Order: sequence, then C-alpha cells, then structure tokens
Amino acid sequence: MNDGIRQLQSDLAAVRYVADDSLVTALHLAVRLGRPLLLEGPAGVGKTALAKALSDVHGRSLVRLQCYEGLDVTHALYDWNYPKQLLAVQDPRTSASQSVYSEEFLLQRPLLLALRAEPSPVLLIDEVDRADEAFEALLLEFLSEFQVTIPELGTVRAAGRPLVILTSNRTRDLSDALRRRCLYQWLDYPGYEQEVTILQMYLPDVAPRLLRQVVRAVRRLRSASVLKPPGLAESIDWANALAELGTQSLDEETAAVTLGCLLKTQEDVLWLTERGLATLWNV
Amino acid sequence: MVNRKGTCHTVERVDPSREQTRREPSNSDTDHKAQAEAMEVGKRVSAEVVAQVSRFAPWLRSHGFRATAPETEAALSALTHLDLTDEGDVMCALRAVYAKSPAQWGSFESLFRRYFRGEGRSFEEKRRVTGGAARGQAHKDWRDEEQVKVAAMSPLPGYSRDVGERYAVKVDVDILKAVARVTTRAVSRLPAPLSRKLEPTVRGRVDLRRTTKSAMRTAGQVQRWLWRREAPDRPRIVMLMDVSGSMKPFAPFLTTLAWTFLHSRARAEVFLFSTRLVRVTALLRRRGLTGLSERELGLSGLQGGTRIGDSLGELMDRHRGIIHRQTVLVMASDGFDAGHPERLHTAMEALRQCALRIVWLNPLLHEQEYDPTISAMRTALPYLNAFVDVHDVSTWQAAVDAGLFAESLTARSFRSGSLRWPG
Repeated sequence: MNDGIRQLQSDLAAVRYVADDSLVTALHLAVRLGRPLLLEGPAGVGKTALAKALSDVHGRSLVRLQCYEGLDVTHALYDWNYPKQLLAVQDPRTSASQSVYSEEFLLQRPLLLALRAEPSPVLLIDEVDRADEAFEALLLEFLSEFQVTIPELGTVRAAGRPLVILTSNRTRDLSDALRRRCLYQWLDYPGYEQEVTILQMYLPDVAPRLLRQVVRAVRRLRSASVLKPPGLAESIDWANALAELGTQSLDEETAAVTLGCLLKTQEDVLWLTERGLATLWNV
Repeated sequence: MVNRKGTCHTVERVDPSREQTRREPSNSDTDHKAQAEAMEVGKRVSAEVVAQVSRFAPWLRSHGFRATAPETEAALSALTHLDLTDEGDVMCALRAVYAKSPAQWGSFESLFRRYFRGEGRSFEEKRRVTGGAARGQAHKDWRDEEQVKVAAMSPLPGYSRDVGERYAVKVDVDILKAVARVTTRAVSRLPAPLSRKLEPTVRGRVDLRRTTKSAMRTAGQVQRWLWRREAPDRPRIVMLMDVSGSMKPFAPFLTTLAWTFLHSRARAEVFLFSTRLVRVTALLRRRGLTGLSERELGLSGLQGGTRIGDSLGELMDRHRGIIHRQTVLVMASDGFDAGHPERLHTAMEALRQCALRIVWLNPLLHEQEYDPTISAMRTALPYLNAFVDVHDVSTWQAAVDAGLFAESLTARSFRSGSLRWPG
C-alpha cells in the first residue's frame, strides 16, 4: 500500500475511525485529485462520522450542510439581509452610490462559507438524497468548478478547494450528472473483526468477551428483517449501557432492560421479544 | 497492469470475445479523446498503462458502466498517486472512479480481475430448463431410472429456480399517448401533501425577498406586504412490476404505465421483481423507449419461481426510505407466488403500516376462470386498498375513472364492473 494511504489510515485510526483499504484509498484520491467523494450505504455505518474524522485528521474546520426536502439556494448558499436592506434604503446617511446588494448585506450559508473559508474546510453535504432534484442542479456548478454565481455580486471562486464529502442513504436515485462529478464509495456495515476493533477503540475498558457478544448479536439483528437495523452507533450505545450496568456476559434480564439502545421501533422490539431475547446470542 | 506477484505486467490476457467487445465502434471518438487527454497525465504514467486504462473503459461500458472520457482521465490521474504494483490499490482507485452505484460497486472487482487477469467465468449462457423439456428428457431416458427419479422429484415448473423466462422490457409507443393521458389524470387526483417549498400567495407568511424588492421602488417604504406559503408537494408513487414468465404478455403495457408514472408530476420509483428486487427508475426513465435487455436491467441473476414476499421484504429492508406515509404503492402482479406465505404476510403488514395506500393491479382479474384464492392473493388481500384489473389502456382508464387514485378512496368505488374491493 502507498505510504500516503497507510499514513491516512493510521491518522484516521488515531481519531478513532477504522477505515478499510478500499475506503482509505478513495479518501486519499479525493484529497489528491480534489474531487468530491460520494458515500452511499445504509444508515449508521459511519458516513457522517468520516467527515468529522477527516476534519480532525487534516486540522480543517467542518462545514456541514444537512439536506432536506425543500432546501433551496437561500438556505444552502446565500441570502440577503432584508430588514437591514430596508433600513439602509431609508437611512438618509446612505449615499446614492451605495448598493444594498453588497457584502455588507450578504448572509453566507454553508456552501458559500465553505468556498470562502481559509484554510479550505471539510464540507459535509449530508443526506443529499433528501434534497430535491433542483438542489442537485445547484450543486453541479459548485462541485465541478468550486465556484458559485450570485447574480447581484458575480462569481465567487474558492480560494482553496474544500474537501467535499457527500452522503446518501439512497431514498432516491441521484442524477448521473452529480455522480459523474464525484468519486464513489459504497460503505456497508463493518465486518465482525472490524466492528469489534471499533468497539474496543471506543470502549477500551469493557471486557472483550462482552464486546464480541454484542457484535454477534447486532450482526444477527442486521441479517434479520427488522424495520430499523442497528448501526454502529447502536452497537456502541448498547455495549456502553451493558458495561455501565456491570454486565460481564449477555443475559436475558440485562438485554431486556437495555433493548432501547439497540432497537428503535416498537415493532422491532415486539418481533424480538416474540422470538425470545436468547436468539441474540444462541446459535 | 500489475500481477499477483507485484511485478509489472505488460501484456494483457485477452480472449476473443473480449477483444471483439473492445473493438466496438460506438464511443470510439470519446475513447480517442480520452486517450489524447490522457497524454498529459501519461507523462506521469507509462504509455502502456494509459493504453490499458483507455481500453478498459469501453469494456466497462459493454458491462453497463458509464465510463466516459472524464472518468478515464480521472482514473489515470488517480493512478499517478498510487503504487501501481499494488493490485488492491489500483482496483480500489479504478472502482472509486468508474463505479457509480451499489450494483456497479459490487461487480467491479470481478470485472477488474476478469479483464486484467483473465480470471473468473467468462460469458456463459444461463441454463434454461422448461417444464416440457424436463419432461421430454425424462421420457427419452426412460430406462435410466436415476434420471427418472430426479425428474419426478424435481419441483413443479412454477416453483423451480431453474425454470423461468427473462425478457427485455420496452415501452409500447403505440399506446404511450393514451396511457400517458390517463396517468396524468390519475396522478392529478392523488393526495398532494404540503412541501417545505414556498410559493407566492395572497395570504400566509411574509415574503421578505419580494417585499423588499418591491419596497426599493418606493425609497424603502413598504407599500404592500407580499406573502408566501407552502406549495403542494408532488405525489409519491412506488410501482413494483412483476417480471415473471407469466406476466410476459402484459409487460409492454405495464412498462408503458411505469414510464408514464416516471414522466408525470409524481415523484415515482419503479422496481422490477421476481425472485429478487431490482430498482430500475433511472434506467427506465432514460432508455425505456428504446428498450432494455435483461442484462442491462440486471435481471440475469433472477431465477425462476416468483418470490413476492421476499421481494417486498427486500423493498422494506433496502429501500425503506422511499416508503413514506404519503407513498402510494402500486403492485402489478398476477399473484402467482412460489415463496412462503408467511414472508408475504410479514412484508405486507410492514408496508401497510408505512405506505399511504397499496393498490394491486392484477391483469388476470378480468378472466372468468381466475379467482384470487391462491395463497399469495389470499394473504395480500386484507392489506390492500384496491385490487383491480388493469391490463390495457381501457381497463386502466376504467380504474382511474372509478376513483382508483381519488383522495377519498372508499370501498364503494370498487364494487362495480371488473373493479374489486379487497375482502
């Protein structure tokens, strides 16, 4: 493996993010080529956490844009401070040549902030699939040229290219135009050993035997047809809760009272209790 | 490029079928462009690597990848940052550049190995065994008791994983206009929840942007307030289309129906299913009119014996996010299911809780002999909002006129004619 890639992998491990060879290679290339990285995968596999880890590794600030339906240019890119503009227009001290469409009245939103920040930050565009198709079109210019056009001001170019991470849970298909501008990485649930390593990293004081039991149980739930399969965060929460209660080994009583850390819908809890909690650890 | 021992590999292993694929005339200009652009990058990697990657792109295209000049350029740029003797790194880098979906992500590694190392299976015709053929074989080798026993114990054709017809799906352009007209009417009747988008109106919240702009004309004095409110959202439709052999006669109409949903005002998603589920929204939207082969649709992995419960379970497991409480789920299937009824029951129960409405279009419902008493239909009926016969333009129109997608869908709407209300 390339030295740069190996270094990045160990840097990520130092900030408690375990990345496999494939992911770390894609990250290395995203940094070196200045291309956005599109991460897809089920919820709870560490897509958002990766952006946070990267900002720690590179010592850059993290700018986050949480996407949602109806997200538009005024919430993602920029807006004008309208009350201030109105006051300025009515203020007799304002000279005729002074425009109310200037930097003074500009409200910067996450995308514009990321372009102007120095040093260039890590920009996380989270759950981009939740935004509308129209917002994707807005992103195209941003992701290919790292510039945005504000009609009243002109084109704003990035001083340095931000490291852009886009995440998607695939609630809808993203356009080909957006995909083509990004490097792509599919993030799945970690393997057994990898998940044990992650838990050990977060919970070094918990008995390894208990962590292994937790991981086995969580993996069993993921392979079953539960409505909300537990992600990594749930694994960590559950193991933490069990350790807090002084559990050395999984048993029905402790599992029953800590189930809320693991399953997030009543249907899933019913599904498991009907089959018996012991199915989590019995072969 | 590289071999397993980590030394430079200069000569690719080429088989004739692959060579033929590479000489495809289509997109050759793009490849020349890619090669020219790659020359710049090529100053940092050897000409041989440039040539290999440039030839890899058209081969990937023949396997459904959208590998164009910019991707090849990015791939070559990526290689300049890597140790080319490490095959794993090279594969990961090319995958990050060329793969654009989970399916492509999953298949890339084996394609990479096949191309650069000649490993794995090459093109191989899938074995097709029909019930008749199986029986004929048994008669022919009547004396071979072992074979007779095998034939006798083999599952019924509809339940066998080896039996099953795969076919291309294509929009029927002759009926497209008529279907689109009815679909537009149907979609306009669907309930449209309010979105977070705002639109100008005469009452609602103050629209500061427009009010300010208007006030600029009067020296900053607000003469009139302008308002805005939430705009109606686009209705959501998820259509599941059964592509088992028994549904082949209805495939052109149903494909046309799916295509019109995709090009309507609705926010639509389309899936095909038989033994598993395949999301085809983007493909169908783009190329439904020209037709999609089974390979392009990724159906070659499907086996015989429809598993409706398993497919719906897969929808809930893998695409749970698209089933909202405003989603209208449209199932198009004849209901012949070789899976376990319990799976179907579980999946339907979960869907019932998540979706706004479940509509089952059954093209066999108009036939006199057909009665929906088969196990799968019996299991599904209690969870349906409507169970209707739709197999051509006229039945589609009749269903929509009867209020199939009306906001106030009631049981009474479906008690007449060929339209039925479940239960």
